[in-house]
Parts: sequence; structure tokens; C-alpha cells
Amino acid sequence: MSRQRCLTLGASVLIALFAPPAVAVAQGRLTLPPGAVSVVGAFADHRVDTGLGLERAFGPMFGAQLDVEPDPRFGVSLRALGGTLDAKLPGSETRSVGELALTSRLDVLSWFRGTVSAVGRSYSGALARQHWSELSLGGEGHAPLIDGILDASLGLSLAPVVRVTGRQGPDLAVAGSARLRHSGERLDLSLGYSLERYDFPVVEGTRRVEEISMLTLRAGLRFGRRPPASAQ
Amino acid sequence: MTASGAATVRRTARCRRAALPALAVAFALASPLAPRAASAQSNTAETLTQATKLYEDLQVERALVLLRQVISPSSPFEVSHEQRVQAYTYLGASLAILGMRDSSIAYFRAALERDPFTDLDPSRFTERERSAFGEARHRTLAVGARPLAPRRLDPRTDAIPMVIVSTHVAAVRAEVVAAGDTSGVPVFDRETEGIRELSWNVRLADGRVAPAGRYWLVVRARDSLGVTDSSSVGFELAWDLPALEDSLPPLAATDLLPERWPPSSAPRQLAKGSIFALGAIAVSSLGRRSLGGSVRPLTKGIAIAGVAAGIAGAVDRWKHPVNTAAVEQNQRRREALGARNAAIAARNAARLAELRIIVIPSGLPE
Repeated sequence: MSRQRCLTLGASVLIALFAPPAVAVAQGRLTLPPGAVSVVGAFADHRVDTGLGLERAFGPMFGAQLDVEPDPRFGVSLRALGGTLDAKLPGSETRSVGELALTSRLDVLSWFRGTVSAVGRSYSGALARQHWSELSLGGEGHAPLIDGILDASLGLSLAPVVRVTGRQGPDLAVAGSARLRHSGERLDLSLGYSLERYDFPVVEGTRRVEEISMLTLRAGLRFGRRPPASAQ
Repeated sequence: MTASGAATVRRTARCRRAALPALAVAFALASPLAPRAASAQSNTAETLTQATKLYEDLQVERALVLLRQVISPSSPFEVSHEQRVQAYTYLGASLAILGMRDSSIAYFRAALERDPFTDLDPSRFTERERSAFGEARHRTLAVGARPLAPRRLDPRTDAIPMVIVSTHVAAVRAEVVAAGDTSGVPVFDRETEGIRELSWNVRLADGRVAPAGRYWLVVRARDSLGVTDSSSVGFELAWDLPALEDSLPPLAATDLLPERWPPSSAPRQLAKGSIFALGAIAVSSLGRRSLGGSVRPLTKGIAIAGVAAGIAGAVDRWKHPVNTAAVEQNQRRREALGARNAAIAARNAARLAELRIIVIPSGLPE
């Protein structure tokens, strides 16, 4: 995919993500939509198989997240995370990771929502810095585990557009997630696990495979007034 | 006869001649049966015309002969109610002129009994005739009600005019009674004499607008001697109204969500937690095996949390089997239904304000 097509696609996604709040402002409804502002802590496990051996780095990441739900069926979240992952295997190097992710969710069914995510990620090591940018599409099923207290969701997404600096994009980019969320009147808490896998094309007989998995804990305060929830 | 007496007789004759066409027209208009029975009654009408002309020309004896033919049971011609009343009236007047006061009163009474609205115009009949007629009214208690005129009215502002009569002083009660009903709406109840103009606001005793249907204006009277009489006239009321909306029925059980969780719900929550834990492990297994086995260590945290949440969810369902979200949803549905019914009621009230009542006369007084 050409750079121009990628930019066009990215711009379209951004317009889709921010259109509802923009419309609200344009219509003079300047009331704050419901949402939450959170702090995020995570343990990240970054694994790379270069074909010459396994590299693994592990460590904490911290950041913040802003969730906005302009409509009961639609939500947007912006998350920024950063941290240093320590090398866990010989031959690995310590790296810093920074990530900015914008995700929109649209409830399609009472138990299923579609997701669109745009992610930018940067790995910095002693020798080099690598930037990743990707656009992924997916969906997640959700159901209450404890009525009115805790919801569970399982998601799967594919990233058709992944750009990695200095390297050809992967043949396969797939991600899965599992999340428990408490969304109360004031508190918004979640515990999630996600894994992203990238299989790069075979080059000179070797295939590079990368994955990053995270166990994420988020604690936030809600703002705005949510409409009453419908019965399941 | 003196000159002044002759002048008085001529004046009286002129008055009678002038009154005759008007009286004839009035009787003709007052008879709804006139067109239908016109041919059968033509001879009676001719006889009456001839008799009244003779009466006006002071040929009273010849007039009496014709008038007696009209009321005779052996008359071969059909005689309408109005014609009979007219004949009795002229018989009474003729006999009063001839000085036969008792007979005059008897015929006037016969006329009054058949039509209590019968009256002698002071400008057309002499004092002697009116004196006899007054005596007849004193001796006869008869009440009546005029047939209602057709009309269309707004029940909020208009009323139906009604006219009743009592031949002499009596306690008179007039009420509107719906067909098939025994109690009526009183529109007049006091001692009175003569013609009374009343009005009915088309409301029942409870204040509601009278529904469409057949009604009777019933007049009852009792005089100081204990003599009673009654009369009634029928009419129909029709509603001219835009169609009203039906209110929505109450929500059926199928329209509402179950407000209690089924007994199988608790184990299902446990199963959900387990499925979530398995799902988290499945997410972990998306990773390539060459990157360090099939299950990543971080998965354990979310899987354990999922199972724990499932257990907590099951306990919660056991302890609190009421589906509060469903209860709230049902309440919202009931409130929405109430709001829609209130809107329908408001629209119907606005349409009821456009209600018009149509009065349809029916039948003669009975």
C-alpha cells in the first residue's frame, strides 16, 4: 500500500472517530459528553524472533487514558503509554517503548461492538529507534459477569495497515484482547490482557516474528452523565 | 242592531277575515302529516275553509252545520288532528257568539284537550268568545310540549330551546328522559300557567354531554284540585365529532422483561467467567509457539480474575435474583405508555371540544 493511500485511509479513520463530538460542538451542544479520565499501569512483554534467536524484554509501562462516550452506543478512547522494558534473555537489549493509541467502539449488537484502532508505537534501544504505525479493525463480544458491576469482553482484530520504519510491513498482524471492566457512577476500572502478533515476510530464508503482550490495569474517574443502561 | 253595534260587528268581521289566512297557514305548517294526507283531507279542508268564511261573515248557524259535519263520527272524510282542533275551536267560538256558553266551553275544552297550545288571539276574537275560552282553560288541565326544531349546536355554549304549556295554574315538571331510561334530567319544575320557554344544556345529571340516542321531553302537571295530565314529545340527538383515538392497552406480560433471573442464571454466570478465562488463554495462544510456549505468563492474571469474577457473579445472582435493569426498563416502558396515553387523551379532549350536537325532531306530541 502506498504512503498516500495510507495517509488517506488514516485521515478517514480520524474523521470517523471525531465526527460525533465535532457535530455536537457544531450544533451548539457544548455540554461535556460522558466519559472517563484514567491512569494506566501495565506490564509489557515484548518478544522477537529474528530467525537468529529469541529476544525478550519485560517491564512496566505507565500512562493515561481519556474515554469519551458521546453516544450510548459509541465511544472513543485515547491512550498514551510509555516505559522501559528490561532485557530478559541473553542477546536481548533493554528498550524504551512509547505508544499512542486511538480506538473507537461502536455497539453493533447488545453483546457485540466493532472497533477501529490507530496506533503509533516507538521502540528505542541503544542501537536504533523504530517507529510503528498501524490501523486495525476488529470486534469484541461482551457480557456482564456481575450485574451492574463487572463486564467481561473478548476481542479480536486484524491490522491490514502496518508500517514499520526500516522494514517491510508484516504479512500478518493480529491481536486479541480480554478485559474485565467496572464502570460505576464515579469509578471506571479495568483489567485487561492483550497480545499483538506480527509475522514478517521471509527474508533470506528467515522469518521475523514479533509480539507484544500487556496486562493492563486502568483506574479512572467518570465525568458527564450517562443515559440509563438497557436491560440485557 | 244599532249603528255602533253594526260597526263593531263589521270590525270584528274584518278582523276575522284578516286572521283566517294566517290561521290556515299556521295549521297547515304545524302539520307534518299534511303533505301525505293532503288529498284525503282536501274535502275536510274545504269544509273548514267554508265554515270559517261563514263564521267570519257572521253566518254562524250555517258555519255550525259545516263544523259539526267535520267532527261528526259519520263524516266520510279523514280529519287530521289539527283540523279537528280547528273545528272544535270554531265551534266553541260560534256557540259563544250565539250565547250558548256551556256548549261553547265544552267545545273549547275539547280543543284544549287535544292541543293545549290552542289559544284565541285577542285581536281576532271577541271578549265573549275569549271569556268562554278562559273558562274552558280553567276547567281543563292539559299540558303539552312543542316538537323541537332541527338544529346543530355546540354543547359547551348552546342549549336546546323547548316550549311547554299548561292550560291553567299547576305544578309542572318537565324533564328530558333517554329512551329506555326511567330517570330524567329536569329542565323545569315549578308552578306555572300558559306557555313557558325552556332550554336544556344537553347535559345529563352527572354533567356529561348527553350521548347520541332517542330522548323524550316529558311534561307532567298537577293542579290544586289534584287533576293531573302529562304529555311528551320525542327527539333524537346525534353527535357530529371527529373520530377519537383509542388509548393503548396496558402492557402485556410479553411486552415486559422478566424481572427475576431464572434459577439457571447463577451457574451461567459461573460458566461465563470460565469462558472468559478460556478466552483470555486463547488470546494468549495467538502468540507464536516459537516465541515461548503456548501460554504467556501474563495471561494467568486475567484468567484467574475472570474465574473469580464468574464466581462472584454467580453468588450475586443467587443472593439477588431480581434483574434491576429489567425492572428499570419495564418502568420506563410503563412510563412511556402512560405518556402516550396521556397524549392520546389530550388529543381526544381537543377533538371533543369540536363536538356538535344535532337535534332531530321525531314524531308528534303524545
